[in-house]
Amino acid sequence: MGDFEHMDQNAEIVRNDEIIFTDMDRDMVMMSVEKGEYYGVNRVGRKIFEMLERPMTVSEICQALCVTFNVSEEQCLKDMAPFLKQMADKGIIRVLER
Amino acid sequence: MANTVDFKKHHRVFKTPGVFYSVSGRNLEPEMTLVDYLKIYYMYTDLAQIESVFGHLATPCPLYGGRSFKPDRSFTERHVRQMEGLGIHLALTMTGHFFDEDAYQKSRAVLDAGYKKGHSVICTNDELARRLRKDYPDYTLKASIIKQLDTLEKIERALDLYDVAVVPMNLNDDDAFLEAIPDKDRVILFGNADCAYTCPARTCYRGFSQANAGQPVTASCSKPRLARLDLGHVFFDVEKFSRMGFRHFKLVPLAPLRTQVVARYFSRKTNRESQASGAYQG
Repeated sequence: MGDFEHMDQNAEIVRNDEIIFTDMDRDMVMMSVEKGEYYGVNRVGRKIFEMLERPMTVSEICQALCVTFNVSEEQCLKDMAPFLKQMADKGIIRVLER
Repeated sequence: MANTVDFKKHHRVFKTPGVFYSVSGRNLEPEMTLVDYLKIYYMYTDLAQIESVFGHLATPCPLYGGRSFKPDRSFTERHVRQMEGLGIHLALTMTGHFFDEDAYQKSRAVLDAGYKKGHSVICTNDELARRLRKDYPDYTLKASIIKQLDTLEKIERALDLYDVAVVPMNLNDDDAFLEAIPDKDRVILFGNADCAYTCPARTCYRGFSQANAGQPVTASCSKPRLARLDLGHVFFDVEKFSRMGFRHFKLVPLAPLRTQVVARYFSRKTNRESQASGAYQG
């Protein structure tokens, strides 16, 4: 699993196909069928999860978020790191082997 | 067991285009909004694929069946309005075994309340179905799983009286039988199932009917008496069935422990937001 605390910005990430999800207004609820656990994310988390339908690098995700939410790349990377780590720890996303 | 699927790997089959679902409302609580309930409990489908929600209205009725009547797990008027707002139909589970004039008259309030073209009544008792055909011609009549329509002859006979027939889920594994069903658009298969799938008796339904009719309950779940392989919550390959020509499926709720908590959380949030936005409406 990638170390998101010290992110390799070229690491490719994709969402786990086993996760099912639904939009709840602006938020999103995801469920791990395997674990029987639910996870809720806000609109930023939702945007990230939706983008990860196809593999993207950390850098690409960040660039897209900077445009959508009008934040600096530095701030985006800082904010995104713990979120990506949480998602990876729960098996919601995975880092592709290179 | 040929037509079950590993849900973790194949949950996308439940979004097969052209497939529609009648889903159980058994876990819907009075304070929950219908849309939140459907989105949480049937997260693996698209809301647009849900054509009806089946269950009881929150008014007692001696002809209810399927499960014991619980007012706090039944549809309120608000839920029915929400269904209609979403273009989803109500399906009343009037699958009680015991029909007589007194029970029918005591059921009129429920039948009147749900009466609208497109809404349906699921029946086990043919006498009730004939009566509904005469008194409530706009209801769609569905022949219940409890009728055990397990031969082509039984299905054809049922479709003379009913608009739609529900085929028991154990027949989902019989490809030759499914292929041979002539009028597949008037047949509902189960998209998933719980204990009823491998149950050799399904005697609980009679017990629920007795309880709802106010009779002494002599029938009960057969699990303590009859051996079966309990598979838990199973999902079927609706994509394969769709290729055979079936378009309509029943679903029961997928319910890990926290599902109810999540559905309650979002419904509270939705209710708060709708109240807040309502304050600005003239």
